Amino acid sequence: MTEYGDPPGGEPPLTPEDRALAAEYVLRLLGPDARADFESRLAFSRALRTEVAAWETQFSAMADAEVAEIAPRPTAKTALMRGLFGESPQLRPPWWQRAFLWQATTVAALAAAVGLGFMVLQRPDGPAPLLVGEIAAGDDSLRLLVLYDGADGSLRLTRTDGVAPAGRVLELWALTAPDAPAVSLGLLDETGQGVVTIPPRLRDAADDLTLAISDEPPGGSPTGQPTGNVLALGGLADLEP
Amino acid sequence: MTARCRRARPRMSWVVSAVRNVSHVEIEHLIARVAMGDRESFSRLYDAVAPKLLGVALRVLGDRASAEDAMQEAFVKIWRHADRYGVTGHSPMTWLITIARNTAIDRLRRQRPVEDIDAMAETLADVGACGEAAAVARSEAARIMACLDELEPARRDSVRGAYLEGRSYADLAAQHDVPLNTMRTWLRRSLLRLRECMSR
Repeated sequence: MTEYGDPPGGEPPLTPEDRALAAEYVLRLLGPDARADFESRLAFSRALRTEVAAWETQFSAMADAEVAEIAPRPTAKTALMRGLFGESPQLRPPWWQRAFLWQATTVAALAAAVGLGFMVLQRPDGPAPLLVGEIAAGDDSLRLLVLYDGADGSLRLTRTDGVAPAGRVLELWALTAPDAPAVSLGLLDETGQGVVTIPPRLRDAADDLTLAISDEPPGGSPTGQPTGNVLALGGLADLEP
Repeated sequence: MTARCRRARPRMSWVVSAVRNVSHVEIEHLIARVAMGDRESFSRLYDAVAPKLLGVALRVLGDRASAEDAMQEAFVKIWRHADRYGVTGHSPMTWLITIARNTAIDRLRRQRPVEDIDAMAETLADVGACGEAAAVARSEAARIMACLDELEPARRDSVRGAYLEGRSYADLAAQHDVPLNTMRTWLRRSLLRLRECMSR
């Protein structure tokens, strides 16, 4: 059973004490101090997180097997849906329409613009726009700097943080409008460096594009639209005065 | 920073949940849609798993009205944190049941500071180990039940009581009429035996 194997490289093996603590943590048997201590260790130990996940899996399997289903009253669902969504039939906006993402995107893009500004502005002046931006996960577990050259539609990518989940590849997408289908720009190279080309029809409004990265099966999305988790979002900002 | 890992999808095995014959793969798909804000998928996810989650909450709380409140609260967390599901490395039912159970226990232990929702989501271990947990999900139930059977009945009941009913060490000590430290020693020993059995 793999999750009970040796901990991932570099960490000392867990002691029986650690394993018992992990179980007590999952069972919520630890007092507040012991719990806080354990959580701070958890943050730094993948072996311990794996142990906690294994206990969660075991115990939830027991609950799944043992606990009888009980149909909730129909009013429970009505109340839940009303509490979450109000009475309005309007759907929750899709992720690329949510305001906080746009705000985060803007902040990230501006930060990237400042960071890259000197470098880029030293290029000879040309009529084509140069745009920079950052594509980042909310928790910065994946970050890429991007540089768009309007002269040839190239988008240069430099990954500064994060990797693809094992067995998955990272695919880059452009979104023109909240309700428009995503356009695949290609798969990200494992080296973390790469150049993709923005299709000509998207170039005029390159600074309005939302860029997104999703994890996909090897070879990329089988459907032409993101199928995995959307891991990071970003956009491009104009550097020209 | 742990690398983001996606759980292994049990595509080939089509693990079938006991929950209304909705497969784990379908539930996982629904969670993915919920993460993108799809209310229709949220509604379907509710229909598929609410009875199980209510059952879990009721075992902890023992009271139908509180259990329904806890279940609703769990679904609010599920809606808000569906996008975090992918990084937990869990099978979908593990993720859902863990949220429901922890939410019910928060209610049960009012004396403890109630965690905010974000802390709650973090409580689910981010295994980062690419879903070994999910890949073996189907065999887990049989395995843990068999291993529990190897424990003495009183100890088995303690482990089950701690998880299914949210019993604290103090509750368990009172129930078995032993000092609290004895209870803790007992239970920890049982947990290690359980674990040893499960890793065989």
